[in-house]
Amino acid sequence: MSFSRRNFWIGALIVLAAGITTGRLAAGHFFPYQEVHKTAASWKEIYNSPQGLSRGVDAVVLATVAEVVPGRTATSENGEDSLSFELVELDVVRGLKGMKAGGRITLERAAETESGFFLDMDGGPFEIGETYLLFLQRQEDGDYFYQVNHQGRFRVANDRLLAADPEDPVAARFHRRPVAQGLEMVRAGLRGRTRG
Amino acid sequence: MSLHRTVVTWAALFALAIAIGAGTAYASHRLGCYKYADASINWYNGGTGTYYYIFQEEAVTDSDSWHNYTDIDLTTVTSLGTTDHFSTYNGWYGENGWLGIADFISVAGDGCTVLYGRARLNQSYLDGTYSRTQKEHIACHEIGHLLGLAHLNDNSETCMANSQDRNTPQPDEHDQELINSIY
Repeated sequence: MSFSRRNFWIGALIVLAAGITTGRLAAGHFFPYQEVHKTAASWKEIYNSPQGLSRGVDAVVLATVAEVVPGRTATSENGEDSLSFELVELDVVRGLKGMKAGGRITLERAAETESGFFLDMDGGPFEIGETYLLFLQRQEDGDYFYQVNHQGRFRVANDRLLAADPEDPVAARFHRRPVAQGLEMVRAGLRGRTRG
Repeated sequence: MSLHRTVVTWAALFALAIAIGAGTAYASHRLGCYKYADASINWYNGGTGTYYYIFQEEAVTDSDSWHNYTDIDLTTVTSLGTTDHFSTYNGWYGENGWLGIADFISVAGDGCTVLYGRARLNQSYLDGTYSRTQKEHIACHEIGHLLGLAHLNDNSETCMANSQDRNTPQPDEHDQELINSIY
């Protein structure tokens, strides 16, 4: 049995349409009640280059999460909505700017809504025992640091940096690079040269 | 063409099409696949003082508000809701890097349908050196997220752009087209 070229392509189009429809239906069938909580933020500071990011923050550290404890709760002005914060204790492994190795820093982040949903605009909850490259600002009115924005967090996995937001153009410059290369990019940025 | 070659080619095309279909069920160039069930959305303004009026303007009353500029039909309600709903607030959330945040929950059949969302503006920064126009920009931006739009990493003349000046408190034609295509 053989097919003419015309019948072959007609059949191919039918198969394509059937496949796409099947795929869409299957996706809805196998994950019918996928609960999603999504967060997005307008960050105070956004950087256009690794150099700008490195220079703009108060501290750049490679640090391991030692502990995460509940922090304050902030309520909206009308009293109807609240956000819970958490304090992340980190042991500094390498201090590239603003901190030295061996020290401990505390990072404050908005963690949870009153409905119990975790906020993820900064990369979500930190994992105890994991090591991160962090770009931090120091709070003017407190003793804590905060992650500068969605560009400022990279988890170390298999000796590579994984960006919290790999779609961001600046974070993408670091994403999946070996740790040593990422740290050198920071140092080069602080010296006034960019690389990569 | 031989039967064998035809069947093999069609099978490969079918597998590829399934993958494309499954992918497009969730992914697109907007903020994931997220959207409200339809364009009619209830909105609760939990703003206080100036922020009440800013939310009001950016959501419904300005000629280029989301309600007036797009096909979105916002109905102002006087109490919190759990479906087809979003709420807006302002508060002193402290120094943690963000001027505003938007979060939403979707639990409907396809995982994409938003049930409710909340936007919060951070007075700890905004009541400092930020102008009213910049506050309007942030309010417009957060509401845009709730309606299903992502950031734009360029200098487009829209409140959804990630630019630093934040003096564009309205959506642009691209936002309008995208929202109208979503809903």
